[in-house]
Amino acid sequence: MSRKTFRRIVTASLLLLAACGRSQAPDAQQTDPPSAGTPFAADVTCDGAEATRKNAYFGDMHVHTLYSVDAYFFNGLNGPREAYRFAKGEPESLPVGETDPYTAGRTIQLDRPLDFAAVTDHSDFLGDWRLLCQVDGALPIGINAACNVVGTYLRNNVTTIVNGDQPAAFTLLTAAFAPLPIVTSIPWQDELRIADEENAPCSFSTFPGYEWTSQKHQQMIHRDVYFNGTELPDDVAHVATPEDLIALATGQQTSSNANDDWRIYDYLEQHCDPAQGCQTMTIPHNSNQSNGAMYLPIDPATGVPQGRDAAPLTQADAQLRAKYDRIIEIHQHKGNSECAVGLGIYEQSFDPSCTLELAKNVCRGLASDPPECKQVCTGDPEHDPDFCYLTTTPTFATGVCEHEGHDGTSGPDPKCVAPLDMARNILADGLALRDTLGVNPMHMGFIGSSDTHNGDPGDVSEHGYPGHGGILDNDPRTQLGYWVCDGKNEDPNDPAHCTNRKFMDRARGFNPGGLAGVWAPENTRQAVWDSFQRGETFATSGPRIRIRTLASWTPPPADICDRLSAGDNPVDTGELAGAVMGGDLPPRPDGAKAPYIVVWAQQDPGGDEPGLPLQKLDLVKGWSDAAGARHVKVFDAVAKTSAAVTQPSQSDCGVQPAGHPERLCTVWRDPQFDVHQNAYYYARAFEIPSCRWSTHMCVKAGVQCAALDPANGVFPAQSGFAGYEGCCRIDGAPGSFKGRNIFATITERAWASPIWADHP
Amino acid sequence: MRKSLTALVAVIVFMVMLALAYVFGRHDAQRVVRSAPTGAAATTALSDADVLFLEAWQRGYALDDLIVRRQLVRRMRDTLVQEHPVPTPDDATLGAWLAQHADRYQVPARYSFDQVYLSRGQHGAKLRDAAAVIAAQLRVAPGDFQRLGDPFPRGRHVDRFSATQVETDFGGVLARTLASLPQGQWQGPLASSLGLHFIRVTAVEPARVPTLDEVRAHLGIDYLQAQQQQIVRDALLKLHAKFANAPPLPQAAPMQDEDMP
Repeated sequence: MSRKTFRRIVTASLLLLAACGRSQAPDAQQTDPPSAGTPFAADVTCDGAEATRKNAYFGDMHVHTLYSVDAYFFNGLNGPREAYRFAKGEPESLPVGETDPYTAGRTIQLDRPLDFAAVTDHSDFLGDWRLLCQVDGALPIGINAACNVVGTYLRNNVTTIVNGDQPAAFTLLTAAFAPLPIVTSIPWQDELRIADEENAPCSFSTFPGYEWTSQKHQQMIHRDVYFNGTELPDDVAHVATPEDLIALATGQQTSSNANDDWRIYDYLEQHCDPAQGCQTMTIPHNSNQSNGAMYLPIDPATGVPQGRDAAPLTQADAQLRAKYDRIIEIHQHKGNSECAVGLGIYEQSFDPSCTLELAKNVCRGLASDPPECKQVCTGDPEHDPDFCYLTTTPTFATGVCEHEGHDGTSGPDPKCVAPLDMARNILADGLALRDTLGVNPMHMGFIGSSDTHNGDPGDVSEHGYPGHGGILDNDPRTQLGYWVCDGKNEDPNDPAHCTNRKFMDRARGFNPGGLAGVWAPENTRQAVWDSFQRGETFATSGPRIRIRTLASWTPPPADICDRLSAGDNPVDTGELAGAVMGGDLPPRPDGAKAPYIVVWAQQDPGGDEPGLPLQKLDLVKGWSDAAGARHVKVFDAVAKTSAAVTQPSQSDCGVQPAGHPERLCTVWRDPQFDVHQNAYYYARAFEIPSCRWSTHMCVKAGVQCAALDPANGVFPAQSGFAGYEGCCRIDGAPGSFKGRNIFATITERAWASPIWADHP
Repeated sequence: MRKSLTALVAVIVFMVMLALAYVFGRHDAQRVVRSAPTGAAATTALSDADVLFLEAWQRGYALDDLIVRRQLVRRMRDTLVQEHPVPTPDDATLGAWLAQHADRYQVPARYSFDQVYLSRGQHGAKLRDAAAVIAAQLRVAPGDFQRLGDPFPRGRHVDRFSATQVETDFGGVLARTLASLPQGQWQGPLASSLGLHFIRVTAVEPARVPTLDEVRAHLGIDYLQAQQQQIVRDALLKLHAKFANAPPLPQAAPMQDEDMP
């Protein structure tokens, strides 16, 4: 008997002896021997790396620097170099303030370095604004009329820029420069070179990329584009084209966005040849902000959604999408895209966990609100999620789409949010499309990232969140919200002389964003890239929670939870035939019933501050039935803590980790498995509750909302809370304003990429 | 149709003008810069935009325009750097730079150690009791630890990890403790947010200054950036002296959401 086998037997015996109230061992009656599979194969190059033993690595795949047109204006300090250095653990600076974005003010630094990062600046206008508007510094400021139009527009439309509108002047200028590849190729070559220079095999991996920012007609159809290899494109792809300029000149706002997703796939087909050493992929993000345009509903008449040129989606285009969209980003600054209140159209009951950082508030107190609004937004600011009190319309407060379409035709509410803006529904539609087209175009794994516009990847802690975009939201007032008037010279503190007075909570709907996790045998570009291609990834809402799943048709080893805790995965070693997260289950053997799904998660060990323990694991199943109908069901708390879960302290945001485990693990079988279904299974791991970033800010300042001036709902200067009005739920009218402290908490979490079980 | 053709022609003319501006601008940037703000347009008839710009300039509108001020500040910083090009550093210069900033480029210490881990969740309230049992076993048979404790993702032996790598897997508290542990002896129980650990450091490779070959590329980048930053700092000192008695600038108009059209 080998030493390894002996160790496993001993471990298994100990496991059986131990009463495991929190994690569940496999059913003791399962006696079928595990079926052998194929070992994971990879060429490893780092000291100590083993091909069949994977580690968890964390990174941020969505980072904007001053090479992005918006970040250039709102935060002029940090470029790609600074961003990568920051990810490696070096300090960097944020600007002094609104009037000076170029002088260092505040120093920030991660408490722990990341393992990988990608700088993904907007491809339109990529690079130095000066390069474009001043022709590489040749022209003085202010004589380029088109640039002045854009600059003025950007300044005057902070909210719209950040939240997804396509400025007409922006389109005009980008279209004008589109035929001049040298304009963006110079900064792009900078980005490639810097990514190479900052890449450090075995300790830090970099990926050059850019964001394909289609946001015409207020609809975000965004994808980040990434590259790996030796022969990469010389330039970036442009969303805006001369056609957009024509559209403007002929009185139209912008051109159609109906083909913008296919355009980027086509471009990559033509400009990145794997045979020549170019690898690429696209990762859609902010489907939650697409207003129903990123993934259109399946037409019952054809069994497919609208595709290229508004014609039914073809098999070839489904394959194209499947080829490039390997992953979807489901958590970032601008909100969560897993699931949301009012959008669970495939579920029979509301999933109460679908309240995390919803950037859109569909619970507006209207009769038409989704029914679950009554249990989520109760009117009690001490317990409701923060989004319940977002009021800025239509950016945050909007309705559920009743119809969806390109070119801004979703509605009836402007910037409505649609069921297919959420990943769990998108993936379910993909299952049905597999039956119709023979290919699943939405076979995607999960990641989180930040979408920071500060050039500070991985800066995702709820403590000290520096904001989304430099001077856009860099102090309590701009981060939490403030009163505004329509009139430029009116005083917001004087309600009697303030036209259309409203509370501008533009930035409070943002959050610090999440992280991308991968399971890889080592930290090199190729190993991390391959993890993305396999979908062996996970998303977190910020903490470095590790989550890992595998599935098999035969029972996993009895000590599977201990094996995973020891970093040992029997599917990777070939001991067990099955699939790891992101993968497809092998064909079902004759007689096999429901697959065994193993879920393992470990809390964030913590950096400067200890991480928080776990409270439960969920399993989410999506499936399509023989009739093509889609369904989603949440199996709540398939493993959970044995201690009572409590809310953080309202006085200091303190939490009580005692009694909660650092790990949870279980083996689960689907009680409703049907061999005729296509299905996906993904797991979630939840921390115990903690304070949201805005709550940390308000509690730290000791804000007392009773001190609000009834006359105008503003804190008097002597209160010491001026600028913190966004800490309060403010009701009433001039003369009778009252404030109640908002105490918003969150449950940080991780999402494992789905495992797929398709019927033959 | 006629409208579309007109628009198309306008588009083409606009793009050609931009392209020409770009090409000529790149070839004769210095001349144009020195003639600002009127030089670029001086060779052609002034457009409506040109004369409006000139009038706005004379009225001092650029002074309180936030965007214009940012553009000028940025351009000035870039110009200062361009006017003082930094020569490519040779190895002697880089070597001196490395010696001067040895701490910054230090190759971190690496630790190899054995560990016995006790899971907080597995043992719950009896965690300390379990640790006492482990401590007793390690005292009796310090070499027989492979079967003790609970599984851990990095196993029971960690080989040549930096403190940063230790922090990744064990958390910051334990990583900070590691540097102070003696070699060759079991220490513990040491707390992390994951549970308790017994650790026996088996080897420490001290931090060291890297060779020039190891960090030449990195040094070159950092040296260049540092020189450029120094150029700006020196220039700023002179400019502060130059404008010591200058009247305060008008307050720049802040960004206003209420200006949204």
